[in-house]
Amino acid sequence: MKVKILRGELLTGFQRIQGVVDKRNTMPILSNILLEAKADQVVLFATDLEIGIRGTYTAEVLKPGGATVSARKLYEIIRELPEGPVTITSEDNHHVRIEAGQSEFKVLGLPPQEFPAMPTVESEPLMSIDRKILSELIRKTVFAAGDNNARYILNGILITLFMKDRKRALRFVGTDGHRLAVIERPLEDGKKGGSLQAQTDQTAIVPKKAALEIKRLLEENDQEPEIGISKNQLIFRRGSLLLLARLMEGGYPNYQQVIPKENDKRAVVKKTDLEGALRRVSILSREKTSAIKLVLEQGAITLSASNPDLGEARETIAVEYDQEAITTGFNARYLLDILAAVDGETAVLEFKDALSPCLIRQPGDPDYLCVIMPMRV
Amino acid sequence: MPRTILHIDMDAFFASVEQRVHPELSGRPVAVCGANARTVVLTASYEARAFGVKTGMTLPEARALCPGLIVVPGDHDRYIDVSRRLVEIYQDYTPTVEVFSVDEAFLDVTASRTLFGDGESIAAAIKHRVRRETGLTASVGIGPNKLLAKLASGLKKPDGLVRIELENLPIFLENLPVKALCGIGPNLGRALAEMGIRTCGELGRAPLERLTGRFGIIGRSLKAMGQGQDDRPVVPAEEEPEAKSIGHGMTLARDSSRPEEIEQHLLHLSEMVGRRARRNRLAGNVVTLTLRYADFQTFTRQRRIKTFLNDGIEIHLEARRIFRAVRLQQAVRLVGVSLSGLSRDAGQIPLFEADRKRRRLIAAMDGINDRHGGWTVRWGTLLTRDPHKTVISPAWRPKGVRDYD
Repeated sequence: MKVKILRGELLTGFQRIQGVVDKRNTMPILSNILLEAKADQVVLFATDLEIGIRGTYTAEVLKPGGATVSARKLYEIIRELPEGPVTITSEDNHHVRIEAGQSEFKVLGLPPQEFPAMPTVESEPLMSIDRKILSELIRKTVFAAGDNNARYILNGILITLFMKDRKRALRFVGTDGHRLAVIERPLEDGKKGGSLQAQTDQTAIVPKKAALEIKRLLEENDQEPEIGISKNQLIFRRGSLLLLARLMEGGYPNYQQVIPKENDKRAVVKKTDLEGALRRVSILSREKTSAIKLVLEQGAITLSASNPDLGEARETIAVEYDQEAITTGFNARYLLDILAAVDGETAVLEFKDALSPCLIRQPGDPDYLCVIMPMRV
Repeated sequence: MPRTILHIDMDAFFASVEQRVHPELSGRPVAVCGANARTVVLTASYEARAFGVKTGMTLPEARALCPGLIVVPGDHDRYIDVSRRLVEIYQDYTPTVEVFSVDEAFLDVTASRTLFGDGESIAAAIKHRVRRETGLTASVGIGPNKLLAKLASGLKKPDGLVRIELENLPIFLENLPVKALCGIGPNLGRALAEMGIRTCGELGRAPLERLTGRFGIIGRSLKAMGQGQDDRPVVPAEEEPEAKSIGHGMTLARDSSRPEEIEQHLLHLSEMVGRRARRNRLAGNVVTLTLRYADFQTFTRQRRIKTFLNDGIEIHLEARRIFRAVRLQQAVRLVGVSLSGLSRDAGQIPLFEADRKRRRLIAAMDGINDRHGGWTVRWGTLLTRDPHKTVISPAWRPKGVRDYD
């Protein structure tokens, strides 16, 4: 293999795959990237066997072929190279030579045929989706999903494609067993394709990491993506860029059950006020658990925290509320995560009582809600 | 005012208790071991020690040295009971009693001297009462600090009473090997030997920069130790800082390479850890798995999790995840599970009713087990197991987080 490619193209390609390069080193080859040169392009592919990202980049192919080398090292090299063409040549013993300007590197590689096969997109139809909507769906749920939770399935986002008011819609759900976020968004009509013909809901559980990778790719430019769900994978495509994620298997908990229906005590608070107070007061909460006490009264929320080793903190902020007082507690971090996801200047908090789940909404958006379970403080 | 510190070390504690309870054993070589036949010798009686039997030996090793050895499985509850009575005796002489392990304690009797006489008188009175009330003998060391008191109690065993005086301290320390000091173990001893430091005299004279250069901040305390200085207070149990971890381990009845068998042990241990955490209203976010292979090679790995756990099943899930990622190198001899990153139980209520139900179930099980003894109710998976009898951890304390059943 011998290719000549612009440093900028190469850098984009390598940045895209850094997140899926395996760092645990269970299989050494998974910390590598696969390069394949054919016709007038180079294909870059990396995978951790859960998520794979493949992109094609314009290049002058002098000799077709393949190579695989450490994704991390090559990225470090490319980052430091000056703008201009880079020549990549595969040599004996799977060594790879990189030349740019006056620099020359020879990097050890592995046989490219040992690299896991690039997945092929089955003939599943993909559907176009508004970039901003997909990004919002992910942003507003991914924080609530588990991180490395022992209950494996909670480390995923539940995606449902369903019909709502005769229009196709997507629902994303994330929960870690302490908090929950649910969002629904209609898909614009008139967009092409679609695997769903309105009969049944189609669901899939996508690893949180895949959702985060997709969100990152969406932030790169404003080209519109397509997504699709096959039997065992989620497909994300944008032009020649492809991300495939293995779906998670297992039963997702019945989240509908935990969405409170009778929370009749409604408080409206200015988001920045509550966020600021939470950040300040939680400085003196028990460092590990971020537990804060919240007293809601007519016109005021008082947050307080105390730590036997440090001291106490207290702050009162204004709130629109005119019902009976409630004293409860929360993990400040969970509340901050939710407030960061809620758009607009205010947030609506709906309570039933001190030990029941609290519902948090974005005013004017009935299709997005978060639930947070209190703490005993 | 110089302090007067006593270190009381029970002589061959477990073995002596057994000899006291089973008079037919007295005067005979006895080794107390764990409940199953494969654990090591926990304590040997003085009769067995005469044959060279030592703590930590495997039973075949011990029997090879002492063919007439009588092996007695340890009775954990009884030793704890005796230990509590001993502490009560000590507390009649001073409130400042630091339980160092199940059979050792430090007493600060500085302020008690006006009531009971000097260190020797108090030591003699305590030895007398211990013998009268429990039938056991203790070796007592008296010194101006914990380091020297502990050193003194080991000088004349059993039934000793030794005082180390400040006046002749330099002569005494000059040729004393550093390894005789409590706190200088084999590794530290080796590191010091590499620097040419073998005796306390040499340690005390070593330039401070040399010690701190090699050992960092502890270099300073090492130099002080070499000079017989130690200003650590005797800390009564109530004032002891909270434990940093809660852990249990067990030696298997026979080496095992069967994952399902090992995972069952992990569940058992996780349950014990969870119960102890809950009893102390603690929860932790780091789970550590320890595996010791047949050749005593030991493996530990830990996982930090986002939430705080004290449910045995959840602890087990984490320990099992670690376990399943390990490729067993050989048969496993010992398994251990511990929980650290401890914090007051955070009080986060679960969102899902099924999880809340589990919490209530666990609380109900804890209630029954508190009243009727550990393991009265347990998960079906653990039903086939023998009621738990394990080795007492050296970190056992009569109160608080280390107190378990």
